[in-house]
Amino acid sequence: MNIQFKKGVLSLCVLSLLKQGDKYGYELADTVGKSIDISEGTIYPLLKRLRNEGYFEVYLKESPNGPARKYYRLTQKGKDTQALLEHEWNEFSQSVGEILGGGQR
Amino acid sequence: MTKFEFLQRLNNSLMPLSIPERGEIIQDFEEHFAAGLDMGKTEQQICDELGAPEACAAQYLNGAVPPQQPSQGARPVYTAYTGPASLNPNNDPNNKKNQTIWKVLFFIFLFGAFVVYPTALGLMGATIAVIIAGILAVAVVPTGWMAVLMISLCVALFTAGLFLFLLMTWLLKTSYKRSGF
Repeated sequence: MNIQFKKGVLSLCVLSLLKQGDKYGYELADTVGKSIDISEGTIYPLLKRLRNEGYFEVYLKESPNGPARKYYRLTQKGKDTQALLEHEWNEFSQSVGEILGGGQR
Repeated sequence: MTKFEFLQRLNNSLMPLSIPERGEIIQDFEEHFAAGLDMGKTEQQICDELGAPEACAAQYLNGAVPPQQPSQGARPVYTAYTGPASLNPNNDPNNKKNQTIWKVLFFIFLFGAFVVYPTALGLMGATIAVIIAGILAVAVVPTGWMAVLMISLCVALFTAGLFLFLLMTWLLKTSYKRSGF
Protein backbone atom coordinates (compact mmCIF):
# COMPACT_ATOMS: atom_id res chain seq x y z
CA MET A 1 0.00 0.00 0.00
CA ASN A 2 1.16 3.50 -0.78
CA ILE A 3 3.57 4.66 1.93
CA GLN A 4 2.50 8.28 1.58
CA PHE A 5 -1.10 7.42 2.43
CA LYS A 6 0.06 5.62 5.54
CA LYS A 7 2.36 8.39 6.74
CA GLY A 8 -0.29 11.00 6.22
CA VAL A 9 -2.83 9.35 8.48
CA LEU A 10 -0.57 8.17 11.27
CA SER A 11 -1.18 11.18 13.49
CA LEU A 12 -4.92 10.91 12.91
CA CYS A 13 -4.88 7.21 13.83
CA VAL A 14 -2.84 7.71 16.98
CA LEU A 15 -4.94 10.64 18.16
CA SER A 16 -8.16 8.78 17.41
CA LEU A 17 -7.06 5.69 19.29
CA LEU A 18 -6.24 7.80 22.30
CA LYS A 19 -9.62 9.49 22.07
CA GLN A 20 -11.09 6.09 22.87
CA GLY A 21 -9.02 5.96 26.04
CA ASP A 22 -5.50 6.31 27.45
CA LYS A 23 -3.14 3.73 26.04
CA TYR A 24 0.44 2.67 26.54
CA GLY A 25 3.06 2.63 23.80
CA TYR A 26 2.85 -1.02 22.85
CA GLU A 27 -0.93 -0.89 22.44
CA LEU A 28 -0.66 2.04 20.06
CA ALA A 29 2.20 0.57 18.07
CA ASP A 30 0.57 -2.82 17.83
CA THR A 31 -2.88 -1.60 16.83
CA VAL A 32 -1.73 0.96 14.28
CA GLY A 33 1.02 -1.25 12.93
CA LYS A 34 -1.37 -4.11 12.29
CA SER A 35 -4.10 -2.00 10.71
CA ILE A 36 -1.98 0.03 8.37
CA ASP A 37 0.89 -2.42 7.92
CA ILE A 38 3.64 -0.01 8.88
CA SER A 39 6.84 -0.68 10.85
CA GLU A 40 5.86 -0.38 14.49
CA GLY A 41 9.17 1.31 15.20
CA THR A 42 8.00 4.41 13.36
CA ILE A 43 5.18 4.95 15.84
CA TYR A 44 7.47 5.84 18.74
CA PRO A 45 9.21 8.82 17.06
CA LEU A 46 5.75 10.09 16.18
CA LEU A 47 4.56 9.67 19.78
CA LYS A 48 7.59 11.57 21.00
CA ARG A 49 7.03 14.40 18.55
CA LEU A 50 3.34 14.73 19.32
CA ARG A 51 4.11 14.71 23.02
CA ASN A 52 6.80 17.39 22.64
CA GLU A 53 4.32 19.47 20.69
CA GLY A 54 1.75 19.20 23.46
CA TYR A 55 -0.87 16.86 22.06
CA PHE A 56 -0.43 14.27 24.83
CA GLU A 57 0.55 14.00 28.43
CA VAL A 58 2.29 10.91 29.72
CA TYR A 59 2.03 9.19 33.07
CA LEU A 60 3.27 5.95 34.54
CA LYS A 61 0.96 3.17 35.63
CA GLU A 62 1.82 -0.15 37.13
CA SER A 63 1.51 -3.11 34.80
CA PRO A 64 0.17 -6.49 35.96
CA ASN A 65 3.51 -8.24 35.76
CA GLY A 66 6.51 -6.06 35.21
CA PRO A 67 7.74 -2.47 35.47
CA ALA A 68 5.45 0.55 35.26
CA ARG A 69 4.32 1.48 31.76
CA LYS A 70 4.19 4.87 30.11
CA TYR A 71 0.60 5.78 29.29
CA TYR A 72 -0.43 8.48 26.83
CA ARG A 73 -3.40 10.78 27.40
CA LEU A 74 -4.78 13.41 25.05
CA THR A 75 -4.52 17.02 26.12
CA GLN A 76 -7.19 19.51 25.16
CA LYS A 77 -5.01 20.50 22.23
CA GLY A 78 -4.84 16.83 21.26
CA LYS A 79 -8.61 16.43 21.43
CA ASP A 80 -9.20 19.53 19.35
CA THR A 81 -6.67 18.46 16.77
CA GLN A 82 -8.12 14.96 16.61
CA ALA A 83 -11.56 16.38 15.86
CA LEU A 84 -10.11 18.66 13.22
CA LEU A 85 -8.10 15.92 11.52
CA GLU A 86 -11.03 13.53 11.58
CA HIS A 87 -13.20 16.14 9.95
CA GLU A 88 -10.57 16.85 7.29
CA TRP A 89 -10.13 13.14 6.65
CA ASN A 90 -13.84 12.60 6.15
CA GLU A 91 -14.10 15.50 3.75
CA PHE A 92 -11.01 14.41 1.92
CA SER A 93 -11.96 10.76 1.53
CA GLN A 94 -15.43 11.80 0.44
CA SER A 95 -14.03 14.08 -2.26
CA VAL A 96 -11.64 11.40 -3.48
CA GLY A 97 -14.47 8.90 -3.43
CA GLU A 98 -16.52 11.15 -5.68
CA ILE A 99 -13.70 11.41 -8.17
CA LEU A 100 -13.19 7.67 -8.19
CA GLY A 101 -16.87 6.85 -8.23
CA GLY A 102 -17.66 8.53 -11.48
CA GLY A 103 -16.93 12.21 -11.19
CA GLN A 104 -15.36 12.00 -14.65
CA ARG A 105 -16.34 14.77 -16.98
CA MET B 1 17.94 -10.30 15.81
CA THR B 2 17.83 -10.33 19.57
CA LYS B 3 16.38 -7.59 21.73
CA PHE B 4 19.85 -6.72 22.94
CA GLU B 5 21.17 -6.43 19.41
CA PHE B 6 18.24 -4.27 18.37
CA LEU B 7 18.66 -1.89 21.29
CA GLN B 8 22.41 -1.75 20.80
CA ARG B 9 22.08 -0.83 17.12
CA LEU B 10 19.37 1.66 18.01
CA ASN B 11 21.59 3.26 20.64
CA ASN B 12 24.52 3.50 18.21
CA SER B 13 22.36 5.15 15.59
CA LEU B 14 21.10 7.67 18.13
CA MET B 15 24.56 8.89 19.11
CA PRO B 16 24.03 12.48 17.92
CA LEU B 17 21.38 12.92 20.59
CA SER B 18 22.01 13.84 24.19
CA ILE B 19 22.28 11.06 26.75
CA PRO B 20 18.96 11.83 28.50
CA GLU B 21 17.10 11.92 25.21
CA ARG B 22 18.70 8.74 24.00
CA GLY B 23 17.90 7.04 27.30
CA GLU B 24 14.25 7.97 27.04
CA ILE B 25 13.98 6.58 23.52
CA ILE B 26 15.69 3.31 24.45
CA GLN B 27 13.35 3.01 27.40
CA ASP B 28 10.32 3.34 25.10
CA PHE B 29 11.58 0.43 23.05
CA GLU B 30 12.46 -1.61 26.14
CA GLU B 31 8.89 -1.20 27.31
CA HIS B 32 7.70 -2.28 23.88
CA PHE B 33 9.77 -5.45 24.08
CA ALA B 34 8.58 -6.13 27.62
CA ALA B 35 4.94 -5.79 26.59
CA GLY B 36 5.44 -7.87 23.46
CA LEU B 37 7.20 -10.66 25.32
CA ASP B 38 4.37 -10.55 27.84
CA MET B 39 1.96 -11.19 24.98
CA GLY B 40 3.89 -14.28 24.10
CA LYS B 41 5.84 -12.97 21.13
CA THR B 42 9.47 -13.86 20.56
CA GLU B 43 12.25 -11.27 20.45
CA GLN B 44 12.73 -12.02 16.77
CA GLN B 45 9.05 -11.43 16.06
CA ILE B 46 9.10 -8.11 17.85
CA CYS B 47 12.23 -7.04 15.97
CA ASP B 48 10.53 -7.90 12.68
CA GLU B 49 7.49 -5.82 13.61
CA LEU B 50 9.59 -2.86 14.69
CA GLY B 51 11.63 -2.71 11.51
CA ALA B 52 15.31 -1.88 11.23
CA PRO B 53 16.70 -0.05 14.29
CA GLU B 54 18.57 2.35 12.01
CA ALA B 55 15.32 3.29 10.30
CA CYS B 56 13.66 3.93 13.66
CA ALA B 57 16.60 6.05 14.77
CA ALA B 58 16.57 8.07 11.56
CA GLN B 59 13.15 9.43 12.39
CA TYR B 60 14.37 10.87 15.64
CA LEU B 61 17.34 12.50 13.91
CA ASN B 62 15.94 14.04 10.77
CA GLY B 63 14.38 16.94 12.61
CA ALA B 64 11.04 15.20 12.69
CA VAL B 65 11.09 15.38 16.47
CA PRO B 66 11.48 18.96 17.71
CA PRO B 67 12.91 19.56 21.20
CA GLN B 68 10.57 19.82 24.14
CA GLN B 69 9.04 23.23 24.61
CA PRO B 70 10.77 25.26 27.35
CA SER B 71 7.44 25.72 29.13
CA GLN B 72 7.47 22.03 29.98
CA GLY B 73 10.52 22.67 32.11
CA ALA B 74 13.04 20.82 29.94
CA ARG B 75 16.20 22.24 28.46
CA PRO B 76 16.55 22.26 24.68
CA VAL B 77 18.29 19.09 23.59
CA TYR B 78 20.45 20.57 20.88
CA THR B 79 24.08 21.11 21.81
CA ALA B 80 26.72 22.62 19.58
CA TYR B 81 28.70 19.40 19.42
CA THR B 82 26.78 16.72 17.58
CA GLY B 83 29.30 13.90 17.43
CA PRO B 84 29.55 10.90 19.75
CA ALA B 85 29.68 11.88 23.40
CA SER B 86 32.81 9.83 23.95
CA LEU B 87 34.69 11.83 21.33
CA ASN B 88 33.66 15.28 22.50
CA PRO B 89 36.94 17.10 23.32
CA ASN B 90 35.19 19.12 26.00
CA ASN B 91 34.56 15.88 27.89
CA ASP B 92 38.16 14.73 27.70
CA PRO B 93 39.86 15.24 31.08
CA ASN B 94 43.30 15.23 29.41
CA ASN B 95 42.16 17.97 27.15
CA LYS B 96 41.03 20.05 30.11
CA LYS B 97 44.53 19.74 31.54
CA ASN B 98 46.06 20.81 28.23
CA GLN B 99 43.73 23.74 28.08
CA THR B 100 44.87 24.88 31.51
CA ILE B 101 48.51 24.64 30.49
CA TRP B 102 47.84 26.73 27.41
CA LYS B 103 45.92 29.24 29.51
CA VAL B 104 48.98 29.68 31.74
CA LEU B 105 51.27 29.95 28.73
CA PHE B 106 48.99 32.54 27.22
CA PHE B 107 49.32 34.80 30.23
CA ILE B 108 53.10 34.31 30.34
CA PHE B 109 53.28 35.28 26.69
CA LEU B 110 51.03 38.24 27.36
CA PHE B 111 53.46 39.58 29.97
CA GLY B 112 56.38 38.72 27.73
CA ALA B 113 54.74 40.69 24.97
CA PHE B 114 55.19 43.88 26.99
CA VAL B 115 58.93 43.39 26.65
CA VAL B 116 59.19 41.70 23.29
CA TYR B 117 56.99 44.01 21.25
CA PRO B 118 58.74 47.24 22.23
CA THR B 119 62.09 45.54 21.62
CA ALA B 120 61.03 44.23 18.24
CA LEU B 121 59.54 47.55 17.17
CA GLY B 122 62.57 49.32 18.55
CA LEU B 123 64.92 47.15 16.54
CA MET B 124 62.95 47.64 13.36
CA GLY B 125 62.49 51.32 13.97
CA ALA B 126 66.08 51.95 14.90
CA THR B 127 67.49 50.23 11.87
CA ILE B 128 65.19 52.15 9.59
CA ALA B 129 66.17 55.34 11.35
CA VAL B 130 69.85 54.57 10.89
CA ILE B 131 69.37 53.84 7.20
CA ILE B 132 67.39 57.02 6.65
CA ALA B 133 69.93 59.04 8.61
CA GLY B 134 72.68 57.51 6.56
CA ILE B 135 70.95 58.35 3.32
CA LEU B 136 70.30 61.93 4.40
CA ALA B 137 73.79 62.56 5.71
CA VAL B 138 75.42 61.28 2.57
CA ALA B 139 78.84 62.28 3.71
CA VAL B 140 78.68 59.90 6.67
CA VAL B 141 77.89 56.82 4.60
CA PRO B 142 80.99 54.68 4.69
CA THR B 143 82.11 52.97 1.55
CA GLY B 144 83.50 49.60 0.75
CA TRP B 145 83.42 46.82 3.25
CA MET B 146 82.24 49.16 6.00
CA ALA B 147 79.16 49.89 3.98
CA VAL B 148 78.47 46.26 3.37
CA LEU B 149 78.93 45.57 7.07
CA MET B 150 76.62 48.34 8.16
CA ILE B 151 73.93 47.43 5.69
CA SER B 152 74.12 43.76 6.65
CA LEU B 153 73.87 44.71 10.31
CA CYS B 154 70.85 46.87 9.68
CA VAL B 155 69.12 44.19 7.66
CA ALA B 156 69.90 41.58 10.30
CA LEU B 157 68.61 43.73 13.15
CA PHE B 158 65.50 44.62 11.23
CA THR B 159 64.82 41.00 10.41
CA ALA B 160 65.39 40.03 14.03
CA GLY B 161 62.90 42.64 15.15
CA LEU B 162 60.36 41.51 12.58
CA PHE B 163 60.89 37.90 13.54
CA LEU B 164 60.39 38.66 17.23
CA PHE B 165 57.21 40.55 16.40
CA LEU B 166 55.77 37.70 14.33
CA LEU B 167 56.84 35.03 16.80
CA MET B 168 55.23 36.84 19.72
CA THR B 169 52.02 37.29 17.77
CA TRP B 170 51.93 33.64 16.79
CA LEU B 171 52.60 32.48 20.36
CA LEU B 172 49.83 34.67 21.70
CA LYS B 173 47.36 33.52 19.06
CA THR B 174 48.12 29.83 19.47
CA SER B 175 48.01 29.81 23.24
CA TYR B 176 44.78 31.80 23.17
CA LYS B 177 43.15 29.34 20.81
CA ARG B 178 44.38 26.24 22.61
CA SER B 179 43.21 27.60 25.93
CA GLY B 180 39.67 27.10 24.82
CA PHE B 181 38.71 30.68 25.61
